[in-house]
Amino acid sequence: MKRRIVILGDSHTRSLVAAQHLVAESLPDIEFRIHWLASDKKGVVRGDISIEDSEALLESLGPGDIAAISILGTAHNVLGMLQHEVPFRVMRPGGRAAGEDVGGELIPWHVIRDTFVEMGARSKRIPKIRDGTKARVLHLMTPPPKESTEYMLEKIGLYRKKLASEVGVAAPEVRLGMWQAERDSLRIVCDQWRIGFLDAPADAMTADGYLRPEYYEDATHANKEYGELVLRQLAALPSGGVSPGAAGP
Amino acid sequence: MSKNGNPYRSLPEKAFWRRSVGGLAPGAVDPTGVFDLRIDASTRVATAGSCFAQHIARHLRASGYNYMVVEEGHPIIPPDVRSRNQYGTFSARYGNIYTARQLRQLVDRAYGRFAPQEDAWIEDDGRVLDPYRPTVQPSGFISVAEMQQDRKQHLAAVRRMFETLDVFVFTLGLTECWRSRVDGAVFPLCPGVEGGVFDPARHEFYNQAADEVIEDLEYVRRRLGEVNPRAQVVLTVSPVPLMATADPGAHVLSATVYSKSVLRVAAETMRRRYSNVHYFPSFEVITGSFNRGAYFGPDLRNVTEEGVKHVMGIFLKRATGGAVAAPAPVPRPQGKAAAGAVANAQLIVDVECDEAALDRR
Repeated sequence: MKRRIVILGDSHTRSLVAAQHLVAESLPDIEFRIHWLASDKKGVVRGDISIEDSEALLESLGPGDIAAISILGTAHNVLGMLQHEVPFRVMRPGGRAAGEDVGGELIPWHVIRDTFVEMGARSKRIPKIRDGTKARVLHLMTPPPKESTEYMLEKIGLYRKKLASEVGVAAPEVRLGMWQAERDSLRIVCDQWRIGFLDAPADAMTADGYLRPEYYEDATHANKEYGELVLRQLAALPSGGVSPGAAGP
Repeated sequence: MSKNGNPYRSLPEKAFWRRSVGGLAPGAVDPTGVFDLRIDASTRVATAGSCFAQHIARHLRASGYNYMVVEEGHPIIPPDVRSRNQYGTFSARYGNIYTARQLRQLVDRAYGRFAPQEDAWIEDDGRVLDPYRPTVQPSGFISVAEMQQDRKQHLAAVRRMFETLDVFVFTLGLTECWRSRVDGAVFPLCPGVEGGVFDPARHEFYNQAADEVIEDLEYVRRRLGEVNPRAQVVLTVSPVPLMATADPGAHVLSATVYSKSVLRVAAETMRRRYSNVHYFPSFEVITGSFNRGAYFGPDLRNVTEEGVKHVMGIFLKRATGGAVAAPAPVPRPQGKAAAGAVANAQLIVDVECDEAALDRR
């Protein structure tokens, strides 16, 4: 019997869906089921599985299976991708002594991390998923930010020209700091929820922690090659999954 | 003068105990003496001081007055997180300023006249604390560089506050403090209590005498006047007793009375000497025998919300010339669940009084 890995999430599941065929041959013993959980935002319904159907799917999983969630991890983009009207900066643990050259108000690392913890901890869906399956549950981290501001502006400009030209994109250091702070916060909330945490694939990151350009998709997402790395990460997890809050490979 | 005449005959009601204290219902007692400060909705009022000053800040904010906050925290930070990290607790994120010397030091640090040699506390778990506001950020800073940059931002905010405020309310809390033997820098909390390492070779106990408190307050008034000549100063004395005394051989109750007496003398001296310094009797409202101790919580230390309301009712009535007779309902501190009277009382008076850490063993 094939081991089943169910992945439920948001738009970041697209790169995973697109990557399925890339791993099908080399991972014959694993059955991936990847779905974008349906949501209705201002009358626009997105996603391909209803909450009820996803619950039934989760219930069908056994203890050797994995339920991977990709719901959280996008707040860094919401808060920190575009230049805020009150510019801010963050300093990262172990990062370059960046700061004043970026300009703006310093938000201490622990303050911004606590902000993400508070936002994440509000989720009611995740405890429900955890309690609705026998499989080990873990949450995936979203892809790291792209270092290239030009690339970001170009992609955002495709559908929000005004935003790109008038508002601008936050400095790469800020975007990376925000992503790392959210990653730390997600580890914390996963611990609180007693579920696992799977970090973004190390191979997809530059030495500084940005997404490597070969994995770029649009402004906020990674491509199917990145998706392949994530699927292989999941497939490599031993039965029983990962420990709560533990970083992935 | 007639046979029955004497100077007391022409004195107002408030000069007589029976008429203004003993014979009144507790809630009607108003011990204000000379207090001619006036504020209106446009007056920028900044606060600093010991934990009781947080109550003043909370009520000012809720009463529609222009409570000045120069370090609010970035708009993307949710209110609970800001509150936990002491953004808005006082006008700037300096934490509790218990002593006049600490305030003087803040003024000098803000204007680059003093940089203490003990610059950062690095805890065993890697957290970095600012020795001069060790509790403002419970999780600490991630590096000395981050702490220094935040401090730089903080001190810039402090300068902005001093230069643009109209009224500075300072609540004197303690005379006892801990001081660096190296350069005289004072710490809000004894090193080793909420961070840092106590080293008797580097740290010494220092209990300010009345003349030293007065000298420090005069220094602050002068420096404030240099950058903001129109600034008015309101001094109050915190009624909250000492959590612990380090004065050799002293009893904490006697040490409290000494400390508060010194502060009261200093405040009165300042008021009498300078027309822009005012004294407001919050200490008398809370500790006065007329309320039979009702304004203290079960621990005989924390002040009840009823007591705070009495204080702020008088303050607002006096400072607004009667335009505001009572303080508006004040939102309670967020983030704690209330359960039962004790928890409720704790909730109401739950201000960040890090001096409480002295009694943790």
